[in-house]
Amino acid sequence: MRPGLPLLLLAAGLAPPALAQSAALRVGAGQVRADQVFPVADTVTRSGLALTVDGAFGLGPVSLAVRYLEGSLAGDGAAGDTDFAEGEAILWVAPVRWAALGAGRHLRSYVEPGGTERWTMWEVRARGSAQLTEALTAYGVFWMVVGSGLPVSGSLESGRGLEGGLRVALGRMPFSAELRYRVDRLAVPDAGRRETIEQLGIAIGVGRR
Amino acid sequence: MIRTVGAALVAALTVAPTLQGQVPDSLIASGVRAYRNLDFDVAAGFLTRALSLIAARPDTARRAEALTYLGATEVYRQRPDTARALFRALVRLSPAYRIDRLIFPPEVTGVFDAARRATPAVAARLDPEQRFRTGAGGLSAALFGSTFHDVRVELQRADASLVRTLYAGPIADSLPVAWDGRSVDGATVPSGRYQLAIASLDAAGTAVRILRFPLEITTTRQDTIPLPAQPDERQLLPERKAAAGGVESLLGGLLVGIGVSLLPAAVGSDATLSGGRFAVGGVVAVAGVIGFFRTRGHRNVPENVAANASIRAAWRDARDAAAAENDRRRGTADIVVRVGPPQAIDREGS
Repeated sequence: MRPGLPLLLLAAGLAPPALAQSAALRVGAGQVRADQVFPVADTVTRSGLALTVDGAFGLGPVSLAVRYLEGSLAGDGAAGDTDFAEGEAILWVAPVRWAALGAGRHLRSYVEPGGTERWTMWEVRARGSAQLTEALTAYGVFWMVVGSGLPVSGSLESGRGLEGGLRVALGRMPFSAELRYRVDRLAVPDAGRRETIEQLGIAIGVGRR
Repeated sequence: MIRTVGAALVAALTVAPTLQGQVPDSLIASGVRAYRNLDFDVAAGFLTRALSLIAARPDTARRAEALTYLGATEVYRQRPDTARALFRALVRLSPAYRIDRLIFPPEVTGVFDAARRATPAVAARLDPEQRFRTGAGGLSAALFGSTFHDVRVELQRADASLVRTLYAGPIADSLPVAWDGRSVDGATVPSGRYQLAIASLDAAGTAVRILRFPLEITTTRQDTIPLPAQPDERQLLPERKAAAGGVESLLGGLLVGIGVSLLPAAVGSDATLSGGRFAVGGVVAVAGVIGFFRTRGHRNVPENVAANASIRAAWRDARDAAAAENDRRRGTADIVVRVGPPQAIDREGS
């Protein structure tokens, strides 16, 4: 067990696609919870705090969103601690203001004393948003893994995830705050691996859409 | 016979004006010769007569020469008061004049210097016409003092009311003075008749001599440009639209809220999920309800709001630019100053 309470950097952040010339940068923090099923062990649950930073730059209906998360997850019971990091870069196209389609790469790493386990996923995503008031915007994102590079033998049976949240514009200033929930699941039955990553966090940012 | 008389008449008419100018000059020359011959009474006669003949002539140099020799003559005639009065008249006539110390002996130059020190006066040189643009030049004048004393240089209206004091302070031999075309409050002066008044002050600050140059000032202002019209409703897009009681907000919030609460169970069906999704989903759903009440009956159209903001911002920029240009134009003017012949007024007894 690693000393201290694991600190995790959670990224709840999915940088929203910009529909006009835009730029945004956000930092956030939150709770990450990983449910992992290994072939020779029961389900292992690790959790901890994480910090995230994400940004987006858009030109017209096209935008590029990047996100990075890092933290430490503390295992319960016999499970050991692990450092956890995620990064993604998604290219979005928004044919209408309230919906966008995207595709990009999603990387995930577990850093343990025995080595680093890396997951690489190619994903397609769909995003919808609804402006509730002038200051409140709700959004939801769903994605599927369409290609992967796995650290275990076997093929990916399923990979999908979703994120939803609420963005609050802070007055007329270019600042905003977000509340985010995200869940992501990968399953490799050949290797007996399944894992579900949950992230709950908040973020504040600056940017103009 | 007739031809001879005609020729004589023509000659007389042609030569007479020349002779009229030559008579004072010859009188001065005769006076100077008599002075050099130490025949001071004769010299005084010639020079006094010459001065009476050229009193109205603008030939300052000849008058100054006559006054100088007459003053020197009176020194040697043992009439110092007369000599002093003549030298003071000489100083007033030409404040920058200095008698030649190689020609006149110290007893003459001493009397002249004393008269000069006792006669504060200023001469000024101005070009007869000066053109300038406010902020990029100005009227310039060169002042020449008879002796060290205080002067006050003012631009005045024709009725002698003050427009602006250009200088107040001491003058020694010379002093440049400039005027930028503005009044004391910084405004460009309007066209009209003015005067440049240069007052020589005594030790008590009383004006003992005022030299006035009449000025005819023509001010031409640049035209201002019209401000752009504020964008009217026809140029702007509708910023609000009917929203059927905010149903969009309600449905959007509930849909996302329910999705965040329930769909994770489908995504991670074999995992134990936290309750965080319900918290987030609940917040989003409540936000949808808030949006329902906040946007009932109408809601903003963000694209149109942004487009209108750009139009208004562009109009504001254009208006500010035009206003700034007009301020610049209002603050500048092309000025032509025509300078008339000066007039000197001496206080009696000074």
